[in-house]
Amino acid sequence: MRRTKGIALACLVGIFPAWSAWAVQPYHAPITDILAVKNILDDPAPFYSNCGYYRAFIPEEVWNQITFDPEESRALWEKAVGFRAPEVVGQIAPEIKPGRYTLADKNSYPFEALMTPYHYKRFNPPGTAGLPNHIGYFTEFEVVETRQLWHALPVGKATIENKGKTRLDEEGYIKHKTYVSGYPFPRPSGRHKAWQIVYNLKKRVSEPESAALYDLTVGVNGKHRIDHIGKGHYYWLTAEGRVMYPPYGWFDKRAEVQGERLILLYMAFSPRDLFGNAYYATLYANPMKDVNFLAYVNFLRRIRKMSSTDSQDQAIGQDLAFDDTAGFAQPIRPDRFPYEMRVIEEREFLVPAYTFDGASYLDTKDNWKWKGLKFKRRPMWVIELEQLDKNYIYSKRVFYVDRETLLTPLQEMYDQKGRYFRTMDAEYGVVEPLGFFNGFHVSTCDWVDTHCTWSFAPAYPALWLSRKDISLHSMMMQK
Amino acid sequence: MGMRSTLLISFMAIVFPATSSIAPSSAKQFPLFGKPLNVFGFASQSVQISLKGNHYHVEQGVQQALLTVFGELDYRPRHNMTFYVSGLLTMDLVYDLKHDDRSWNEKFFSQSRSRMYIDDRDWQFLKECHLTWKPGYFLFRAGKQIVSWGEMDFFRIMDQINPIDERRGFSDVEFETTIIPTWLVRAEWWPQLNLRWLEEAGLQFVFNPNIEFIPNQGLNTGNDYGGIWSAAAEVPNPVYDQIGIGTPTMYLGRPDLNRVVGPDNLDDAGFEYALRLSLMIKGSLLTLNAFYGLDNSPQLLLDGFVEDPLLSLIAGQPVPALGTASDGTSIVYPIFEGVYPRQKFVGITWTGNLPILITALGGVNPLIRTEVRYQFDKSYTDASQAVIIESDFLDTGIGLDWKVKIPALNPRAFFSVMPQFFYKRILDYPEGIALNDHPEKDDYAATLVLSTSYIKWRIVPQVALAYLFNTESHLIIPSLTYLRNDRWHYALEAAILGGQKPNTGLWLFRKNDYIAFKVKFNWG
Repeated sequence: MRRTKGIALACLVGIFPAWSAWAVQPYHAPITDILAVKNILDDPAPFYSNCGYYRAFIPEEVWNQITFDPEESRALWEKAVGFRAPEVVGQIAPEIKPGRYTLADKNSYPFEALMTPYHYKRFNPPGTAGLPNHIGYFTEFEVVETRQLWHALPVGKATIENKGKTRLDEEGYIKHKTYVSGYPFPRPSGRHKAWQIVYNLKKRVSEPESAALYDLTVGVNGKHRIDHIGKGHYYWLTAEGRVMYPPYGWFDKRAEVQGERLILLYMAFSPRDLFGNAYYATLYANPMKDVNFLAYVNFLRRIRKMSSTDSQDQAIGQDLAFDDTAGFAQPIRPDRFPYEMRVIEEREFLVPAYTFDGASYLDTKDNWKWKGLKFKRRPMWVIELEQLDKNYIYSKRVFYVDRETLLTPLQEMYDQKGRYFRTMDAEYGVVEPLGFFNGFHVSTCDWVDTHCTWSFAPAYPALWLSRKDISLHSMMMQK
Repeated sequence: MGMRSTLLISFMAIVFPATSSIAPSSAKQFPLFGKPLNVFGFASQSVQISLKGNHYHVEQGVQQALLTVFGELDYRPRHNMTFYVSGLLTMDLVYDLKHDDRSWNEKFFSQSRSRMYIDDRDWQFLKECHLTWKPGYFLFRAGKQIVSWGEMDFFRIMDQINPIDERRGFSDVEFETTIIPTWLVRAEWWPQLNLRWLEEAGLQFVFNPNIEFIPNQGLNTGNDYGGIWSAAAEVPNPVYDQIGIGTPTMYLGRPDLNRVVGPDNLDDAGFEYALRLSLMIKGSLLTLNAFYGLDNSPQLLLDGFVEDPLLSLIAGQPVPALGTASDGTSIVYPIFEGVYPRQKFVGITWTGNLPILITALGGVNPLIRTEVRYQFDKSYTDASQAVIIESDFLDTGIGLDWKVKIPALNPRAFFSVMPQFFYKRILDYPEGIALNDHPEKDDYAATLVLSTSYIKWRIVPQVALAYLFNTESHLIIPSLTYLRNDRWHYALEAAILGGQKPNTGLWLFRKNDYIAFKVKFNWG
């Protein structure tokens, strides 16, 4: 009896902290609070420094639960991927050293050899050299030392513990039930190397596993006029393979039963016609199970089911389709718009550095240039995904993937005529104390119809998120 | 125009330019006691021009000039609580533009001013005003609100809770002016059942305490009542046949509806109850619905006509007083009595993907939407509107949402194709009697909406079509919208209406073909 009571007590003591962590009171900064720290445009304020890496928005008792020892994290991640980035860069164009560079230096240094072709084109005033009048060009930047980067301790742990467990079939498609948690392929190799790299993108998204995100976007046409301002906030719940915050593993019983991978709830505040709209999507671990996509249409006051395969049409006012979101939301299936994937390059590139202060910005008064950019050498793979169905919007995708972080700061899409069609260029933020990467600034551009969308997309852990916050009835809060 | 209208317009005139001058990046969100207050709105002005020329029931040239000003506030004092309020001003400025116009006055449109010029009733100014609280898996919303059921567009099947305002025609109106919010209490519970076949389940209960009885604001007869959108009914004139007075046919003028009785405010005779069970099953949405309340439209019995006292005295029996339209046709003024009959129904809606995918057409699964409603003891009248007859009623619809890629026509965006088919059946159709507005037991209708977009959703062409089989009526609405940016929208629209069977369906609006241009400014 005493032993039983002791066990029961131990269980309660063990469960109680978990419950405490779980029963977190909601905290959520309104959009105005975010914009007060840093505005979408024309604001060089260092976002992360000024809000203390979101500490200003997160209660202290929660903060202590979401920080991870950086040294332990660093060491473990190095063990997972097998190297440190500073050790594998510096061979190409070694004369490009840390320091400040301007357009005047462009021809004095072999930037063309070290930058991606995309960034080399962007190193120009807009509308020159036959380039479209996009936003986000830069004419000066600072090269900084390459740093080792890592994911949070539990991510590293899970990646190492589960290494080798995730399997692909003969053609490279994932056997989804073999995936447990962490990055499934921290050291991609072999015949399906490109597939392994892509599945890293699919299985781990950079933002925290329970996240409140802000989608603050500006659409700019070829005349540099704003034609779209979008404001909304997301809730984003990783439902499978959770390691960073409780509940660990499957988010809940329903996630396990239904095989849910990721649940998104997006609530629109701007433009006005979309205010009150909410979009809900559930992506599943089984790539053969279609996305469940619902929309609360404010002017109908109804939840409308959307076709699960309506993912190629362009998002209103923006330069991407649903398939382009969440890193790479398009399902990888053999029976529907299949790809052939290959690694076409593996080398270092000079790319926008991961930002630790969040200070870069677009200067609308100076030709919409991207200022405050830092660049660093990063070891990367270049993967080409050749679309095998001529009816898809793209004929191929090209991903530039960071070999150390396994993230994709640059994606290029080509249309069915082989034209350079769309690009997604992400400046990742390093939320250092919390151990995750944030797609902080994302520039998506259309190279056929000259237009760009600039996103300022901060995100922080929302430990209070529960199923009741991401479900059908939560879509109807606004109207 | 009353003091209230003046004050409201003055308020709008101050707020609108003040808020529109705020830079886009400093959004219309303000802190109120440390919590966000969002302010939005729009203003639109449309001009509608008749395509049918000079006819008694339409006005040549500009025939409608709707000004709509809408404002809304959204306040979140807590994470799970929202307070929302919206206000609306609708004015048809054609009543000012044509105030001294001879044709406008001769056709009696000016006499519809009190009903059609400005929507100045309290419930028209205050659109929605509700508090939403979402504790856990519950949701409560109390206040003036819209609860919209159903899956179909164009024609409402399950969507019977809120009344609608159709006075101003079929399309040249904003959504916000169409559905009328009413004072409701709504409670929902969404338990997590964790069943493999069932992803979500929700139970919704809606109670209408009849704080303010607001019926459908429908189309009606009489230029002096319904304005430009009055139904152009033309019936034989019995007085002409009998005693040679008036013209062989006559128009129906302003109806006398003073004897149409609805429940008093707060009278429990006007209470309504609605229950809905929503289920998400393997990605599809199924709802089971039940409603007990009142029909939002009255059932009208003809109680005679406005009488000519002298002729009635002479004839020794009621003789209708006949007005004269500007084209010389007689006008008769009907008197109705009526009630808002009991409405009881159950129904099912379902929407889900069809497992058909053709990559050559873009690789989008079509989506099916269906509704079936069974109404008990629905009220009808006979063709002469002399008696009320009851019958159970079946109301169904099925629709498809599909997107296809036609690169030759649009290399960038998909075409949206949305056909719908409606079928109704009066189950106990009386033998030997024709029902008013329902000459046949079965009724069929079809709609189709086609649209696409160009230049990143900046240009949106669309065609909406409706065909009513029984009355052989058609409605075609082509439109072209230019979304210059998030703030400024411009739309060009036309409507072509007609029917083959006199005094039925859209034959009544056969002269109302128009072209319209609208400018809309969004702020917030």
